[in-house]
Amino acid sequence: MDYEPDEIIYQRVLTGDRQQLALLVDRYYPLLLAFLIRITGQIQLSEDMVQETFVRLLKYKGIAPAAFRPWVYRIALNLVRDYFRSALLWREIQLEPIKEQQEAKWRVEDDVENSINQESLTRKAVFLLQHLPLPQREVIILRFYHDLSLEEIADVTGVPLGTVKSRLYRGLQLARKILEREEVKLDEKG
Amino acid sequence: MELKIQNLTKSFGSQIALSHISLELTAGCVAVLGPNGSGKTTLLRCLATLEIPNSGQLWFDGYPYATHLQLLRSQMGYLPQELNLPDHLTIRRLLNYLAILKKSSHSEQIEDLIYALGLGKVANNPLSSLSNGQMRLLGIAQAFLGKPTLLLLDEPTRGLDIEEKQRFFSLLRQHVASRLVLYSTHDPQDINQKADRVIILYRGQVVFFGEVGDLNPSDRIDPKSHNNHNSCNQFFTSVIKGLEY
Amino acid sequence: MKKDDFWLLDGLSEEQRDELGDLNGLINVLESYTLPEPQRENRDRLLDSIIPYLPKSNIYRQDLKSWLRLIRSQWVMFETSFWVAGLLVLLLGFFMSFLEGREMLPLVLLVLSPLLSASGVVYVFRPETRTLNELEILTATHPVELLIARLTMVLGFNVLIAFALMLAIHLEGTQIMLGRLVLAWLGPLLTLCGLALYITLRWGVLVGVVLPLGLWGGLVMLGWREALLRSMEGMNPVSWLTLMIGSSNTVLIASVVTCLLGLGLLLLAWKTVAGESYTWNLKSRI
Repeated sequence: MDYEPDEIIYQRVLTGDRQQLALLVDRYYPLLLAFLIRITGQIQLSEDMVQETFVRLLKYKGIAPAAFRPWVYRIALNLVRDYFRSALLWREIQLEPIKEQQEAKWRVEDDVENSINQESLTRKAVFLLQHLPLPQREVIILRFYHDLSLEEIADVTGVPLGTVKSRLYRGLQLARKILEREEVKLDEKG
Repeated sequence: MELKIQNLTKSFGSQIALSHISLELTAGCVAVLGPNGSGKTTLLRCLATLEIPNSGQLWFDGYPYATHLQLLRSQMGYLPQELNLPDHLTIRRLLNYLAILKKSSHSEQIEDLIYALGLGKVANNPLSSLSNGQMRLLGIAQAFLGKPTLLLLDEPTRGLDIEEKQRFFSLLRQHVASRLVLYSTHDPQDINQKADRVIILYRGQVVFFGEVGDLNPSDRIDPKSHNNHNSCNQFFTSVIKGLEY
Repeated sequence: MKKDDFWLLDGLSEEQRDELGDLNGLINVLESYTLPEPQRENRDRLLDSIIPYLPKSNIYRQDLKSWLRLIRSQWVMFETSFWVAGLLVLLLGFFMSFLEGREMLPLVLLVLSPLLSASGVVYVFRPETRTLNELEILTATHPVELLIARLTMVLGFNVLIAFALMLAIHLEGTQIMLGRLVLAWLGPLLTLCGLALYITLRWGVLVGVVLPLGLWGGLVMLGWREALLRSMEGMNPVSWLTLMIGSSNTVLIASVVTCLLGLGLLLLAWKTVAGESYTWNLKSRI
């Protein structure tokens, strides 16, 4: 069966085609949900944001960009940024890099912890991601979990390619340091 | 992806141009062959929604033409047999204009098409200054604009020299994946370039539809033949005689 | 698919890759963070919640920016010579009023505006645009959207000229009520435009040019003939016409009627375009 490009599916959705909407949801609901859960660490919030993303797609009246996929992620990411901008969590998560925290603890957001497999590796992953500054977290998640190219990530995040590369580098560096620091602490405890 | 044609008939007054044509075409490249007056242009124009058939039904990708006209038109690219365009326009202006109408933000695609078809040097010249071959290439470029899923090209190679033909077929090869392309020609040599299937029309009816390889090798045209007109006629005569038997 | 650091670090410099070193540990950790597929009922719930937002039709479904882009794009349809011709006709009108006196200005506006509008409408559909019209149909832009954009351009240009003329009339101190003058030029402008458009769409450019402009020419001549008759009674024909425009209730009523008629004709043209798109029905005789 031919795989229709997303751009064609979207065009058909805009003519009111329910079946094509269902197809679009099947393609992007899991992807967007996973993206948003990993960025925000909150399942219900992520579900709400997925819904809002689709609503914005359906209400859009301008000319759709040539590439649909990065555009959808961009809409979702804008929702995340709006959320963090207004949330009190913003300061705690964004402005205090992990290296300034003298006593880092494994902190996992409650509903994610209750819903996913509690292997220690997974907990580490959640912890890592939640302790990266948002700009770096965005890049690593889009790159690692969604296989977007650096150019697509630049499109999604709205920053130059050089900035994306810099965020990727610093994010990986920081992530590795967090991991090493926590593993050392665990070794000391053990 | 499927184009389904069921019992398509079109006549102009008492003149029957297409008679009870039924076909099912999937993605790929299909050459439409036939002598002059066999109905090639009429078939393509019906598929392009520019002619209203007298009877029959059409679907593309499961969408009936009758109820999804605007949707299907937005997914088509069409090269008319005759290009009659305002002289004052330039290639770039025309392509930019059509890109806006296609609601396509493919400004890079415009430049890619211009250069792939060798129109770079004349892209800013008025259309009145273009040669027949260049006009034809412009027509091809606008058909590919917006990456349509159904491409209908009426005699794309007409008036093209060898180099221009190669550019066209090269572009076709790049773009045919996941698309359905129908191109008409009265030159059997063109089917060897890219087509994986052939429709042969004769007096408004489909006399052959199948893989290129299914055509009898002896029916193939000799590329070295100098007298192309006679060779074409011989080809059609032999194919039709063969099919009649 | 197991990811490797080569793919992850693609795009970074050699120096950066060396500094990062072995990331296999990190990759293992990140890879472990898998999430289950969303449940079917959640997917269905999402679909139900967004279905009300599904567009019913994508005609006229554009934001202002897209509309302006479409209107601006129509510029390519008009050669420079078209605008120059329009301006020359206007200058001719100004010249005549300069020769004949300021009272001529309202008449220039009344006679020229509808003429220029109808000519503009028919110009867009001239024969050399026939293939282009076919290519325009095979796009995501609905023919009605194109019609709106073109009319906006043609009428917009003419309205600008008309306002420029009215400003001149006002500055010249011509004794005429501008409100009545607006109706007097708007009515014929809309009617002639609507007529030219509808006829062109139905019967082609030749009829679209000849019929409306012939009709208008006839009306202008009849009006001028009436004015000349008045001149035999001692009244300047131009003054008489200006007086009629400014004070006659008959002229006022006729202006309002022609406005409505013009809008009706434009609506008819609109329906014709929309109708042709959607009545492409295939009749199966099986």
